[in-house]
Amino acid sequence: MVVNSVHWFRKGLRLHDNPVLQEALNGADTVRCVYILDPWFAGAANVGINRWRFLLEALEDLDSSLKKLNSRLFVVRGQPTDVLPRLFKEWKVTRLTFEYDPEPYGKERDGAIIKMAQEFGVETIVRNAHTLYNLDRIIEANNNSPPLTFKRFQTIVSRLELPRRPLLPITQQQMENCRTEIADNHDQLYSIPSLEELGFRTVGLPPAVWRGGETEALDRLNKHLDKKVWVANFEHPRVNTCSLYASPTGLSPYLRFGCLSCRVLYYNLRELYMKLRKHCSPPLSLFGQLLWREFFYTAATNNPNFDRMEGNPICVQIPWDQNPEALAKWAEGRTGFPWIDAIMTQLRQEGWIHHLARHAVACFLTRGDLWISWESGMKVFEELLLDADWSVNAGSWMWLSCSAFFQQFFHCYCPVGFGRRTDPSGDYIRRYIPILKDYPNRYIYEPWNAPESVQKAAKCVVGVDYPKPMINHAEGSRLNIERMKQVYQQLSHYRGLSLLASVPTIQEEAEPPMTDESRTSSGPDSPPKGPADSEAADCSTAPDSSTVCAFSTYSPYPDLEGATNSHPSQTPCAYSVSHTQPSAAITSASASQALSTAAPPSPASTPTQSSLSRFKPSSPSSSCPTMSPSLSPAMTMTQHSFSGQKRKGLVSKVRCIQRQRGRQSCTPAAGEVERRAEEEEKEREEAGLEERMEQDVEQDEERMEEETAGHQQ
Amino acid sequence: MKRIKGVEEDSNSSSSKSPPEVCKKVRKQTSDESVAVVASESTESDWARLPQELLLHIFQYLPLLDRAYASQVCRTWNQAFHMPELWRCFEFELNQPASSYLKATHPDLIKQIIKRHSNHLQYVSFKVDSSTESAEAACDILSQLVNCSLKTLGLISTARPSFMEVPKSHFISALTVVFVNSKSLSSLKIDDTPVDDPSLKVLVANNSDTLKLLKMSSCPHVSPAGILCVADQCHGLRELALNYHLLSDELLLALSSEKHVHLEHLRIDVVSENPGQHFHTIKKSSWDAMVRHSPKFNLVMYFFLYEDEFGPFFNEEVPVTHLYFGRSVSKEVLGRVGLHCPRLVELVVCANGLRPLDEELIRIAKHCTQLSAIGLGECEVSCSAFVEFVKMCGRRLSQLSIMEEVLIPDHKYSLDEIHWEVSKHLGRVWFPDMMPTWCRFVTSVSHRCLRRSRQLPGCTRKARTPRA
Repeated sequence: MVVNSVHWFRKGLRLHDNPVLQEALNGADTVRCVYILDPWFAGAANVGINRWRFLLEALEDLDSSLKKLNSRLFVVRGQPTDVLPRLFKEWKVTRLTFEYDPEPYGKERDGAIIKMAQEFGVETIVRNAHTLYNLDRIIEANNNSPPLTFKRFQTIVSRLELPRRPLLPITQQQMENCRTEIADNHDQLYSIPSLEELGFRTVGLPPAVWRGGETEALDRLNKHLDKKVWVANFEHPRVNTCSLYASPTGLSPYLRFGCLSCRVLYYNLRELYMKLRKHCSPPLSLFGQLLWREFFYTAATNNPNFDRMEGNPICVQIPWDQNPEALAKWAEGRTGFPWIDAIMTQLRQEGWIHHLARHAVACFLTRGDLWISWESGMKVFEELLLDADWSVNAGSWMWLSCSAFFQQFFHCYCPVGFGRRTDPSGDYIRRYIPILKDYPNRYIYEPWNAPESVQKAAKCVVGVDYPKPMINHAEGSRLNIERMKQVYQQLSHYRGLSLLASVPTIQEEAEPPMTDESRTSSGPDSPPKGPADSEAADCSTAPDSSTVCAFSTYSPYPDLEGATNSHPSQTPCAYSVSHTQPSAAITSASASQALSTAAPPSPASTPTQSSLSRFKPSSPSSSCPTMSPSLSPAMTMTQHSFSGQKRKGLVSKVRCIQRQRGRQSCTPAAGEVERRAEEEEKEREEAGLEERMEQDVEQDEERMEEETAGHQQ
Repeated sequence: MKRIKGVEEDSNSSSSKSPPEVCKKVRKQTSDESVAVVASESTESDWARLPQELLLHIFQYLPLLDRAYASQVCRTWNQAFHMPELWRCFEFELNQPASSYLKATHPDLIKQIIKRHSNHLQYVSFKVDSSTESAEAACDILSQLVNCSLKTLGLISTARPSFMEVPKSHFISALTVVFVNSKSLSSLKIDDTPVDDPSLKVLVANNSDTLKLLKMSSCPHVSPAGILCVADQCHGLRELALNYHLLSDELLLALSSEKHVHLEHLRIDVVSENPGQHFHTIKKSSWDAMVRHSPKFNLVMYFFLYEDEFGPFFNEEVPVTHLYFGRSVSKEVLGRVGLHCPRLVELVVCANGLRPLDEELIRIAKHCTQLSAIGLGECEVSCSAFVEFVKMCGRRLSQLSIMEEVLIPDHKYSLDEIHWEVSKHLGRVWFPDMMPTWCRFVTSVSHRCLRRSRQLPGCTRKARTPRA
């Protein structure tokens, strides 16, 4: 039977490490590589010119690589659902191959395509190569839900086997076996469109800072495979002035379009590290940046609303302001803060900014200063940023606006101080905002504070030649930190004065059974009392002012503290407190969430509770109403440790049992010996198995348990 | 029968978070009622026979919209809908579609409340978005609350504060309507509003016996004399929030006078309006008087100052318990904090300079013996100093937050080792905070790395050492 393959390129614009392209070639009589795009749609889509240019360059590169293999790239205009059936008939296609797209939109689209292909009797082959790991396996390993902390994610990943090794590029010989005649009018029918055809004006377009394509990606990768600094920098990225500029060795846009395989990068780093560090297995932190990408992909893969606040179960509902005027100022770099404006200018001109620069502008737009929804910012990044993966972009925005993943929100990047610390000279500002180039270093981050004479001398008067700052940062951050506190206190049901305690603890993080361990070691007869109990009693720091002005005993009180939540149906109040507390009205320490806690969650809220309910309110009074409100989150820690235990892998469970046995049955000294032996064995194991991940968080935790237990014995 | 049961289940499931005795009460009454219903075997009048008390209880768990639907079931339920108890507290949400994603309270509902229930209102809050229209609507409602006796009133800006944009006279006249009519206001939250001295006088004249809480951060039209008048006459005031420019020695002395109850919270925002602003100092003796009078009071201070504006602060002992530095603060100031803040419970520093904070942290650990929460943003600390700090504070540190990227590895600890070293001293698992690195993938020699290796010769970051 004749096999006519079509390989459909979407992301994964490369010939190296392309498993599904290999599948297309495998035993096929003809193979055609197709890219489908709709020029009519292109102009309307929210994608900026730099991104289109990068894509077109990547396609050109792909086409020229295929030419060398006596093949071509077929760029077909139209929508996949229209184009593919046409091609199926025209080319008598029997096999369709494409790379797995883990994002919800892509999954839905591909599902429809597969179904349609079936109707045409076309076999479809899909393989994952865009992410290092099979995301579904990560989710499965985490009790069927995506990990919500990066640490947890690392732990899970460290238990999985290493990512599949990358494949070699396809060869001429492979291609030879399934050679397809290229028609003379190929360039007329299937050429790569120009930017003009897509409706962009290219007059005066500056040359691209980032050149798209697989060839460029591999060049960049090979350029510094011999550099030691590279590894060090991957391990613990640090910032300086230079790193703010587009680097000739940056790789992120190439990963986004799949011009570079993430597995190739992974194994390159790994081998380099092992060469430099004498065959030590690399720590997980070496791959930190690759893993963040996986982390967000995992979080998004089953969440079609990952890119919005409404209906997104992991997103905290924050009453953002709607202010198109302020948003435009931010997006166009007219905020009046040179640091912010320079970053946004660089983004618009070049399509890339440093990740700390991203933090700075994202914080400024959302929780730091303007209090505008992260969704608006995400859309701007999506348009301009070359490396904006849907999942990574939305995830990072949620992270930076403190809308998900619950980190501490106290830290606001100052639009003046942060820039100055990163680049004290201000040269970065001068490059992207040339009008400020004559300002002295002292004022370049805050030109509005320069005396008039200085402004005149620099030929740039603030308010005339350069905008005044659009917001008083001190005042703005004062308001915003209060609002964030209100939102978080509502989530955590924490009512004290502590800012840090307002952030709910994530249950999955409290994993290792330290307290559990010490319980066991104190013997079976001892009362079930972990050290955390006594600890909790010690840190009754948060004063409870619920007595201040108690009103009626049962009616729900208006929520005067909370600036909060207009989407009650999405309020995650699965663990709400109810009215155990005859709480005061608007006392700072007590009132935070009156209405939403006293009122039960409305039925509509049930679907969204599932995931947020895993966040444990950090105030124990909410989890167990009988406890004194002064107990600290340490208490919750103890409770968590048990559930954490369940999640441990089989191996570690066994190890755990062994240790416990040793401890209970033997004298302490004997236990010590046994543990030693075990550790030695573990070491041997580690030395022997190179494939084993060195930086295993769990091991660390166990090591700690042992240590603690050792102290107690 | 079935339907009554349904109601019971509803109320149970939704009240599952209430104390058990309440549930029991509901269940008991309902079952009594069911028996009665069975006995009478009538269906029409069953609904009416639910005792009001029980209905009230159920209604309290229902959102307003559901109550409104329920009120259409029968006359009794309709009466229940209007029971005063259900209207004691209300939150007006005033949002414009153009400026907010949030829903707004329907104007008809507002009208109805003013008409039928304004005399029942006791706990009222207004959540207002960033538009002036919303703030004006809030003022309009306030000025119609003539026959009510409010206990709490909160004006809350959910986004940019908009009350400041309302004409001051309009705002003041609306607010004084409430002050004059209520006479028993206990809690008042009016941050970021144009409230002024004369209106505070009206407040005091009518509510001095009952006022317990007053939050008025960033109210630029109030003077130190205005707030002093409140402190002088409202002896029950226990919580107060204001900006630093309103804080005076006289105010502290007034709050610690014998007639005055113990203060519980004092929240001070220190905000710089323009760089180089001069700030006054508060005498140590005034703070001492405060501590003597209210030994347990919490002093919460939020600083939003430029580095060079800290001159007047922390030169003498301050009884601050919760300290937040929203902008960069110098090593020197943090050193003074370590010396002069013996009551410190929580310290949050968003940023400081590039030099590591080592000695300052150690000093803070040594002198601030109550410290149980610390958060450090862009503050470099060497790993060994950080571990030492944690060791000194030990398990009383219930909150510990630092960004991973500011921990500087040194000869004693690498970044990989610090997490469990710290965990050991805390007695629980701890990790530094992380920020997504968002696919950077560039190479560059870091000047900080270089600087560090210069500072600490022979310090190389090693891979994790094998277990000892």
